[in-house]
Amino acid sequence: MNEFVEQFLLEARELIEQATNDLLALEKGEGRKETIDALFRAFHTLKGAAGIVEFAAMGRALHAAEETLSEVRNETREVSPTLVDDCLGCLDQISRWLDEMETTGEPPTNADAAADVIVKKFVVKAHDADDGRPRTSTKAWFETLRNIHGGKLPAAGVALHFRPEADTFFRGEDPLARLAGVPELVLVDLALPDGTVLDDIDPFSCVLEIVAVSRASKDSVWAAFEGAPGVLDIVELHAGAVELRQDLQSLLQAQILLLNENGTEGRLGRMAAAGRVTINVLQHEGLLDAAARIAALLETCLVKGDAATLIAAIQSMLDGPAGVESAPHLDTTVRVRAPTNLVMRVDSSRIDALVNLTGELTVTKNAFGHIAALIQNGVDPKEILADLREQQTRLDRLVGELQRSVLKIRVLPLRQVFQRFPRLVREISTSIGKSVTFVTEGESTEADATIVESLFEPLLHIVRNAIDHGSEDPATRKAAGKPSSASIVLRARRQLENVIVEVEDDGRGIDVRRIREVAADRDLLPKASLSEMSDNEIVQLIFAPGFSTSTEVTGLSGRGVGLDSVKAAVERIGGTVSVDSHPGQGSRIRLTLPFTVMVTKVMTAEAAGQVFGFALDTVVETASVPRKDLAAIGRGRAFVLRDRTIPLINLAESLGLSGSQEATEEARIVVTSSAGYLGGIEVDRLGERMDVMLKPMDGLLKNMRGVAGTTLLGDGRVLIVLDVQELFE
Amino acid sequence: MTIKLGDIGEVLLIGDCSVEDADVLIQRLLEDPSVAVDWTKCTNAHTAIIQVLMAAGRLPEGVPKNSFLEAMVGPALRRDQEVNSAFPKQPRGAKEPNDTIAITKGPARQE
Repeated sequence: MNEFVEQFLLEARELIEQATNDLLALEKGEGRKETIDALFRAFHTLKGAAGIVEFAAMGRALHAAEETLSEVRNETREVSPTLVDDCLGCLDQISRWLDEMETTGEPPTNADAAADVIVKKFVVKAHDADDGRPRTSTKAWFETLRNIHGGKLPAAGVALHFRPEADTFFRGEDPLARLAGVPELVLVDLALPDGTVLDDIDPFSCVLEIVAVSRASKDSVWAAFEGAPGVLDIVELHAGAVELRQDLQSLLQAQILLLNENGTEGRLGRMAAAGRVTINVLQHEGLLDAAARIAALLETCLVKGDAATLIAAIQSMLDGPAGVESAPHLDTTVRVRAPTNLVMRVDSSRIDALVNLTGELTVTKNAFGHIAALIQNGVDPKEILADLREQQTRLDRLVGELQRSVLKIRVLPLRQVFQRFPRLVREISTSIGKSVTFVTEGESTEADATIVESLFEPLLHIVRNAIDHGSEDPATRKAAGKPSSASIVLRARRQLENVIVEVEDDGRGIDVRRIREVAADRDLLPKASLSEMSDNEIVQLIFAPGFSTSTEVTGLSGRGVGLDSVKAAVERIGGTVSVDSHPGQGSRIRLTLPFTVMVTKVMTAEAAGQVFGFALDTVVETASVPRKDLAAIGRGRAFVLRDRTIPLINLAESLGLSGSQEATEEARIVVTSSAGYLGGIEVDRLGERMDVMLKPMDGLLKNMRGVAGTTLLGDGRVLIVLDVQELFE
Repeated sequence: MTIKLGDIGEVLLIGDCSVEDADVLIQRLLEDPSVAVDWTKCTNAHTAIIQVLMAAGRLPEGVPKNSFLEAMVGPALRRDQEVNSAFPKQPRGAKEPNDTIAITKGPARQE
């Protein structure tokens, strides 16, 4: 990727975030004049940036939006929810393009159709503003067209009627050549006036009447006929039957089956795959509008974790025109993007700190050179000892500082995650008809980039739950004497070496009694221990796998993807999650996260003459078990530890190394825990514990299974730190 | 000249048939109303040419060397011939619906 594109992506993403925030503020009616100016500038700058990387389609889309915003700025147009939606939709499309650019390194070549859709939204709005309503299609020529070709008309596109001026040929015009310039023509009809015969036709006078249907946008038809003398009439075709070949139909049916499949495992992946196939089918058939609609739906469904609307939309396409019309149309989309920050912005003061440290390290290095020279010159080493010690202490301090400074470089403010939420909360709460006041606090709290980046999904899940389950509907709230708009606070703060992120709502709280009932019903815990547990302990059960108390299944949640996924995600980055609830007053879910994931505690062990590391947080204990107590089960082995049977693998064997020949009487076993399961790993020798800076695998080794990363040992050897979970898979 | 007579007296449309060729085509068709028209070698046909073919009720033979003519204009001519499915002809000078959008008469654009 060239530097221009890299810089462009970075800036464009920032501008999109800023514009999104401005749009949301504008909708709330905050600081109008300044916000509009800032918004306009953001769109304008984005357009300029698109020009620099020669991304014409993006420039075109932004230009259309900018024109409309300029009317808002000149106060010739009001800010309407539709306008905000259209602008947000435009930014969404640009984000999608940026995602593509991030993978390919250059502007996508197939962006024109999507740009047309956006331009149309803004331009059509401008046309419609004249009479305030969309034009109706009761024209005679269109009726005739429909009668003759009804079945062949595409679901989306335009029908056009062109009657050239009689003297059009004299002006050097060729109307059919104009028509040939309309992209994606489906059919053409030509007609001469009744009674035209060869005998009296004037070859230089145009009497032809042209009717055509195209899948392209209204604007591309306009463009093709621009300046052509004559009368052009365009009717936009809306939802009609989607014509698909038989094999493509069955392909779509297969996607519905896939989406209908039960089971939470790999659900989102299945959804994404099925959606992608559907979009590809539609794009292949030239049904770009329908494809864009499915793409928008897919994203919403991925966020909601529920495929119902997607299934309905695909089904209705197969069913025909009526169904398509009833399919929910979503102009705005909710996006989940796994941000891949190729480039990081670092505060220059942090770089300066590193530069200063380098200076100090150089001084210390020179001191060692001086000491070495002294020894060489025959000075008694004992006399130098004190000096040497002093330098070593200084070096120690500098290395410590260096480590901390380097860690700080990888630190990002949580704003990067938080700023995506206001928009999402708006989408989610609107979709279920709840009113939510959303506040973020402590966005400037910092954490390691890895943590910040992996926080989005668990937080989204929690916030979604708070909106859907936590907050009551406005009527219930009023009855309880609360303001009708629920309040949700997303808050972050630093606490010693931890970062605390909380989601607090003022909703109904968690029904402890109901959790006790459900836990008893599902035999999650023995009844005796349930009754001994305090309310607070009971509430924590909402994080248990497969636990969902919601009696109603809404489109948003309650379909089996529980808070256990949040717990798993948070634990993956070394954090913990807890909940605090007061019935009728609300609940607060707290994530306690490590500030950094760079320093890892590892335990080493030896197998086949090599040293390997295990992340200490996966190691439960070590054990020595007599070999005679190891039992063969199927192809594997197992041993019993305190009445539990634990599967056992031999490290050397599972890594494909030649096993050790040492015939010890007892097997040395590292007992590990991953994803809640215990497993034993037999090693030759147990090693020591140490703090290491774990370096993730990169390049070709990036996807290597079973390895979490590497670090250097004191003697210069490479320590491979193993990923226990992958070893057992 | 891109309107020629073929070996068996058929009218051949060859290459880029311009507006000037329309007059020649009319003459040929008037001379022999039953003459065959072949557009196999036609790379482009001006609207004037198509207009004449329609007035003569002729469907050219062969496949033209232009995908727009082949895929769009050809079928349109065929439909025009088939009495029942033909797009109804408008009486000359029919009134336009009021809500059509008129294109400004700009300077002619050379294609």
